[in-house]
Amino acid sequence: MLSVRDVHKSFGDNHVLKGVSFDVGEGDVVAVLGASGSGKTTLLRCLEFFEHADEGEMELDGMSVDLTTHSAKITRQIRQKTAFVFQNYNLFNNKTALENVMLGLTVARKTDKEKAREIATAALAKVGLAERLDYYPCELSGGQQQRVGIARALAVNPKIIFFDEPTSALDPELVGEVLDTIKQLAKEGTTMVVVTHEMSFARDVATKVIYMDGGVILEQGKPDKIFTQPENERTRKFLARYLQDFDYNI
Amino acid sequence: MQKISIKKIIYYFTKSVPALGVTFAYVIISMIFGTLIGALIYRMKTSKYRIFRIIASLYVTIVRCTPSLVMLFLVFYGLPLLAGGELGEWLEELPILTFVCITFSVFIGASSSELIRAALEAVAKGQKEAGLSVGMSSLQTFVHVLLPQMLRNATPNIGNTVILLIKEGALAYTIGLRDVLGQAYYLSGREMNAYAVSMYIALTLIYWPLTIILERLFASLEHALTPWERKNRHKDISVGPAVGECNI
Repeated sequence: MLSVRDVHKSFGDNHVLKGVSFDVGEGDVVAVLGASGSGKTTLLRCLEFFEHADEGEMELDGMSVDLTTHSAKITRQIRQKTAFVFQNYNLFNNKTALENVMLGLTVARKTDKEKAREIATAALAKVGLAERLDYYPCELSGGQQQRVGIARALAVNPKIIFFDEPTSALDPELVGEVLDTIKQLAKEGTTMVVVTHEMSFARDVATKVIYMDGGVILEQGKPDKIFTQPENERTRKFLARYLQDFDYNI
Repeated sequence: MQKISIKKIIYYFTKSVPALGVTFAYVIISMIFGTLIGALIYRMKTSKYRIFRIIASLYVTIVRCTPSLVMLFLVFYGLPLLAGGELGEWLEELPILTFVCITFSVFIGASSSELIRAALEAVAKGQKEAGLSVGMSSLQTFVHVLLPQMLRNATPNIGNTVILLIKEGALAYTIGLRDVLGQAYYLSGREMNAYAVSMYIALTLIYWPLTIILERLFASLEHALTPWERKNRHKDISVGPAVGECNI
């Protein structure tokens, strides 16, 4: 489904990604873990062409692309196959919840308006916001905004959805509703790559865990293995710190 | 000592009001061309080529440092001289309104480049990325997401500029433009300025309501572009009040 090879990216002297490769199969939920500054978000942004990688390739749904490309056409083709959920939701401020979800259909894919409204309404109902269709983003709570963000991603029927720390900007009491929504998608077989700090989510929902440190993937594998028998000392330390937190929270 | 004559006030008022057409003409034309120049200057300022950035900031600095009256004279007398020859003669034949429009377009070009920058930067980068992420092109994202928000953010500034322009434009009488003020001065001159005070009162009575109406107009435009701030939205919906805070 998605296969990423040897991604490099520097910002000035700061070498953020130093050759990252991984694969995602159909229906996989890949959790990308790692401390702040380990390059997780940059990796995801390179795959959506929000950043131009210095080196690297990716194959998505049978289409091979050079991640360094500046071609508007190729970039757009990839973006039409993917969807992105942002840390800060980034809903269109001037559009209602319904319009937010519809725009990717009516404008980007020229879907018929009535059909688009149907799809968008269904997507919003799925994330539990059927009653908020004509609310503007600023009238919604953070958790609701992020769920609209997820509905917006779902509506365009992407091959894969990238989540960039979808719960990091939320008040703790709102994290649950968003994670539950993502869990629901996982159950339905949506292919996702989720950059997250939610360890329990990664452990319970992910089919694969990637641990990044210093711009490289230190370890990747099934969550059972990574969480119980991490091979790398640094992974062990990182997990110990977070899982401790997690135990306290319970 | 001059006497204030109601009759004369009414006379100047009614005879000058029709010249509002000229005022509106240069305001609208200058706003349009000024905004185009401003967009160009903004584009040059953000260009990756240094030469364009230098030209753009030079333009803004020079225009900002020139009093509008000086600029008006420079354009009116200087442009035909600078062009010289047949082109110069052709320029001299153009209506005065043309020179006024050029002058104010140049001015608005400088200020609106800043205005465009502010309006664009206020619309966060995330909005653009979100538009791209759902598969829209840059242009589609600009038209459907960025531009409406920019317009809404810029409306108060556009309103201020229009009002400023109407007042600044009064200077154009010095090169003979018959806008409201020019017309009133012309009529007053024919009477040896015997009723100048009445003439000024008549002008005030034109400018005040005009400015107030424009202010109201732009306020309601901003309101229309900000649907989420309307009161009593969702009153009929049973799910309770909106939870978010609307202060984008």
